[in-house]
Amino acid sequence: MRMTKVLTYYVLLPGLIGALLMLLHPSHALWNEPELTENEVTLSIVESWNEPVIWIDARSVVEFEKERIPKAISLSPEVFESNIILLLNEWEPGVRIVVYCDTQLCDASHETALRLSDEVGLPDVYVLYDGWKSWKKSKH
Amino acid sequence: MCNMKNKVILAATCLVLFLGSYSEVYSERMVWEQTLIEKVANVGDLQIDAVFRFSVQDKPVTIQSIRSSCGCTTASLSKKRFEPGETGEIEVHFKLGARVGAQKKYIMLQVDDPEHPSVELELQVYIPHVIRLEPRFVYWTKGSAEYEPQTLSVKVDVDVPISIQSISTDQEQLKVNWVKTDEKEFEVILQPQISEGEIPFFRSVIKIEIKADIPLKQTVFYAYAFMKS
Repeated sequence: MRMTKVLTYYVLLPGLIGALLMLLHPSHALWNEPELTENEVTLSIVESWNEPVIWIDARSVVEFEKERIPKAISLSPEVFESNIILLLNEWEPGVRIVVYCDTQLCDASHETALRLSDEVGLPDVYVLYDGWKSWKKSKH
Repeated sequence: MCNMKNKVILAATCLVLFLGSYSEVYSERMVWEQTLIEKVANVGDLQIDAVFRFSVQDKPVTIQSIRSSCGCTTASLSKKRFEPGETGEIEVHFKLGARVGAQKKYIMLQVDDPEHPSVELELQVYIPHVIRLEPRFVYWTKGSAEYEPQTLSVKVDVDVPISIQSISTDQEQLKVNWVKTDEKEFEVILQPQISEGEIPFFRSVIKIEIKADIPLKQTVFYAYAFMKS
């Protein structure tokens, strides 16, 4: 009986409180899924669609030419005007567009995605969370 | 009695741990005047500069690295190590290039504060479009019984009189007209005209030339009209 009390007060209860504290703590992290902004998607979400998507590479042309997601179209700010026609040739109604840059730290993917939806007027434009890094990680 | 005492000790310990964990989060070594700066660019600006200022609290701080989210943005500081009580600043320069509209640029710092090893600074800049053409892409479904007209909008963001000098397409099957709907707005109307038995065009490039009283970065704009299956 005494042993049960000791376990309850000194192990079980502090453990539960500790777990609660971790959840309430302002700096606690979510381990499984990253926090996504409105139009961000993870690679696993893209793969779960089970449909072909158009990949847009918003990194620099040098990085694009070195390595890229197969069939991706380069649309970094420097080649946006000259290459937009390649995307419009490829695009069909209902096909989703996913834009990526290097990692979560770059913002070229968000910039390009915004231009595609607001300026060009294309629907279903998404940004790949953690960009090229997440693709490389998943394929190696 | 002893049981009650144990419960009180346990509750007090939990409270101390809880409050302690929060105070660690908020007792930062660096205190920033602001971590977000918002600016509006003027027409013709090539670069926007911003300064993020901080003061160092009771322990010294070393800034180990600075990284920006875009090649267009650079950040610099006069030195890396700061003693308690010192102030410092990070100078940020954002080259606008051909960018327009709302822009967000981030500066990420790594510091030797084990509780707060990274700091994120944000620069938000609105760059006036001067002239905005939207949407730049329209499409019709091939084989439709009727092709409804579609409209592009040309809007002026600043107080400068403009006029449309010319509009042309590379397809005879696409007719283009434009009307002035407001002091600062035009509508460009696109209407496919495909006779019976004719194969509709695949794509058309629409070229719009603008004339203004001030020098503009861009006076020729392109839109695209497609027939999609």
